Amino acid sequence: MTFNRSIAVPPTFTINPSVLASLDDLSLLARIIVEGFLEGLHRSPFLGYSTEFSAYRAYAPGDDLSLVDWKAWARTDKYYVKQFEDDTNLTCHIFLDTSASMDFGNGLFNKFYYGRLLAAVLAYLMTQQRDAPGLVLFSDTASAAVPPRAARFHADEIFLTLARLQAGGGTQIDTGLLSIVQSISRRGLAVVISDFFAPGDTACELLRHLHAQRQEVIAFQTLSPEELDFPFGGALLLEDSEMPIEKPVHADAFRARYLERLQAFCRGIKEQCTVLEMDYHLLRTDQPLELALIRYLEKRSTC
Amino acid sequence: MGLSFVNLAMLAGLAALAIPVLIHLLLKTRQRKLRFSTLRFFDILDKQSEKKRKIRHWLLLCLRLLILALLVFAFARPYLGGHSPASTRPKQLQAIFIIDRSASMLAKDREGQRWSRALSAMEKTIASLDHQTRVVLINCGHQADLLAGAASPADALKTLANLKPTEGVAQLRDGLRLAAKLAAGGSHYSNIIYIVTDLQRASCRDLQLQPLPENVAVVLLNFGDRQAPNLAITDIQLSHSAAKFSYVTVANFADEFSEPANLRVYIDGRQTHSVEIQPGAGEVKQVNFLLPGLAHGWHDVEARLEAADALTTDNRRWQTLFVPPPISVLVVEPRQGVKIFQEESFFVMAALDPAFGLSNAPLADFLLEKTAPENLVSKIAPTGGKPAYEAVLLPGLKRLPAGAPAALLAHVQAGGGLMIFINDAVSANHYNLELSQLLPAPLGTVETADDLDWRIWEWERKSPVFAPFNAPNSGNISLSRFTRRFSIPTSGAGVVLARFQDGMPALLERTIGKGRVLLFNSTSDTSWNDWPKHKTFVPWLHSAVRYLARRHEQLPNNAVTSIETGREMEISLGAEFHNKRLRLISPDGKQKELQADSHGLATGLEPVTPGIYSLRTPDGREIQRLAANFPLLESDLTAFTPAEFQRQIARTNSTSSAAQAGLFTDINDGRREIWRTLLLGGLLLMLVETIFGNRTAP
Repeated sequence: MTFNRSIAVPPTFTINPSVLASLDDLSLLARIIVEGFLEGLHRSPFLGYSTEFSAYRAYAPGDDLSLVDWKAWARTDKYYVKQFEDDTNLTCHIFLDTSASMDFGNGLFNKFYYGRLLAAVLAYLMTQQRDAPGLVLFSDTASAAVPPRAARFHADEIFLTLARLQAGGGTQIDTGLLSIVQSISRRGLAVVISDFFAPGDTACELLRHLHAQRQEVIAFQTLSPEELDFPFGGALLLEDSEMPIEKPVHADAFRARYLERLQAFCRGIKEQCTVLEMDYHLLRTDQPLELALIRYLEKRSTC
Repeated sequence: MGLSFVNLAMLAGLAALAIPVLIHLLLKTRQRKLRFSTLRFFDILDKQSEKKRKIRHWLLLCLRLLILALLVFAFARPYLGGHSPASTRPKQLQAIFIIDRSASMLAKDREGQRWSRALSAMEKTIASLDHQTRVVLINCGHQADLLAGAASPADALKTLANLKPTEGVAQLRDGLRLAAKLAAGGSHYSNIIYIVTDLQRASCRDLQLQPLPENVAVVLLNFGDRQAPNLAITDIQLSHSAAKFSYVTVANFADEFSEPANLRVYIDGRQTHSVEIQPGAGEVKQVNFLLPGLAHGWHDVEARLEAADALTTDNRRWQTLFVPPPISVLVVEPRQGVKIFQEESFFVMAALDPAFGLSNAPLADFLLEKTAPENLVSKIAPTGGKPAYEAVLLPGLKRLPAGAPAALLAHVQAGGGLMIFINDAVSANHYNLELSQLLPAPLGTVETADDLDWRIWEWERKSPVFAPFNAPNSGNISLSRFTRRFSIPTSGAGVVLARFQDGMPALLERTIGKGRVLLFNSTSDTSWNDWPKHKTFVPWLHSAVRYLARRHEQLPNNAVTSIETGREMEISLGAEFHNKRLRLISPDGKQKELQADSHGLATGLEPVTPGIYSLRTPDGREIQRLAANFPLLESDLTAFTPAEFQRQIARTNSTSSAAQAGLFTDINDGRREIWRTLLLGGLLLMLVETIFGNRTAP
């Protein structure tokens, strides 16, 4: 594997061949059928001559004789032609939030670090399946850092980009990012890795635009244990990571109310995803990543 | 009313108020700067909570300062009103002595007499007390009272100098009750209770019923010996009857054989009996003797035991005996010139005085005289308004002498008694005619029992005539058989006292004037019945004659003749003595005036020394003679061990009832201390602080 060496491997996430092999067993079968350039594992809405049987139809002049089912002719004395589903390639855009709010969390539980690893894993997984992963980065500016390609070594390019990333800036979901979304012409998969701490309702705006572009969206809301549990005590002077704001807070007195509001926020994101028929998953950065992925993939496969 | 302090210096403790302030400042939470991903969830709410938190913290600080200030003030013991602080002083010692003055303290043990040793120990203890100590002496006799209320040690010693044990019993519980009250009342004193006793069991009963306050020290000054050998005369029972023994009871309270002791009995100062006895361990020995013939009137009987035991006081015991004058009875004998056993009055004479006619006969209860019918009238003529004889027994007479009915009526009306028997010679018409004013009922015809003899089946059990048969196993009247009788209607002027089984009256009574008439429906000999041959005949005849003579209710029969020393007594003397002044003469010759109340009850008898007491009218007539004896309870010198005694002393949970009453304020010398209030307030605020503090975030 050509994983960039600048990304250290945390104990919670051991991305090694064995883990990837275990992921290999779980086929990432996209629910939507997209057009693709290359034949692959993914089912195509167009019938073709693939390995998976679809249906019989009566023989018509001009059909390939090799497709005639002679056993069926022997039973019924009629000519039938087998039809097979066509497998296509999947275009997958990985939207990674690189704003300053993602750069929160202690050491290996840092959200930005965790998000990069998750993006790398997904990119590698897709490359192994001959899909076309692409990487879109967004903070106060947005850029299509790596366009999707179904190349064998395309993951290396994504790894290189991820390795060079620095978090910073605010989370701005504005015309820059939305124009990138609107430029996606093919139906495919979009994975959003973010804490969704964007001003106002703009985080949902991104999801709505992706839905409008006929993308099957998987939203990974990544939060650190410090955010989810708020284990601080005493009086704190909190400094916002994206804006120059400070607030005095008494942790013990406000913990309950904070957690309540955070959960309401997460619940809002989840509800929005449900409305848009998207998959939502909350990831704690202290959870083993492969476990989260396996649970996600299992759920995905049953849909 | 100003506020002052007992311990003013304790107010310096207010400087400690700086401690919570310092702690508050030192532990004041300082803000820690923290970079957080987003502050979108920290809005207005936290500003409110921060403000509330600060207010709560200031309130907590104030609360803690208040608690500390209250505690400091409580220790400074503030009070309202009263005297200047100079009058306050450390707790003064109050020594309470409960002195067991029971008679057992007179006992002599190996170390000497108990009382002497107790006195010596008390004197030493009091002499060692500080001169400012308050000494209370509680006398524990038959009731507890104060010998010295709040005396100085010197005064207490003077009181002790003349103190001696009583001849009565004591209950230490009463002394403890009084001591507990005094200790409770003097809560500003430091109390110590000295219990001076020989731990005799009789004196230490139910001690646990009187608990002592916990803050009172108890010191036991024990002078008892657990096993003191002691012999005692515990009882004298006298019977003037020649057929019944009198006896003296001697008890050995030791758990070993006593030394041989000589018991002597003195009657009216003359020794009449002497016997050597040696009772075994715990044995109660009864020494019987017969009283000699005594003239009527009061007699003193004293029993003395010459023994070398622990307690000599109980080796003497007294008893008094009243010998009533004999009842004069006139018996009419109609059969003259026959042998004595052929006389009709033979059985009644023999029953009333078996030794009648003998020259050396002892004094009997009845003074009999036998006479012929013709002498009846002259014999019974009343003299001076009083009957010549207290009772007349009249057997059946064929003809009543001339003037006899009137003479008999006069005799009965004057207060004499008449008992009429009947026989075959009696003419019913003649009797009904001549004795109509005397007979309880007219006589009918003579009846003879055919197959079945008559028996007395019912009798008036409340009547004194049949009183001897009320006790169990005292004889059965119904065993006697009656073969002939007169039919007697029950509609006469008399009252039926006994009936045969068919309801026919057997004995009738009629009251006429001051006297009584009894009609016995049978003969006085055995011709019509066999009652004289039965054992119930004699007691019945005695009680019947006594009833006729009105002697059954005579004073000595029911009167109290023995009392205990050291105990207040009252004696019922009857209506004759109501509101009368009386004199009580002690064994030492001292006289004491008494007054009987409107019911004839003489009160105020409290014999101090054992012996014979005489109760007289102001003109010197002796009404009753009383024997005052050493209390029986004190003779048993068995004692508790100090450990057993200690286990019986119960303690109350609180310091005293007075302390409970003064839980919030302690009023003393006109000042009102409020430290308890402050302390309670402090404790309540501590509780509030605990709850409030736990609900406030740091």
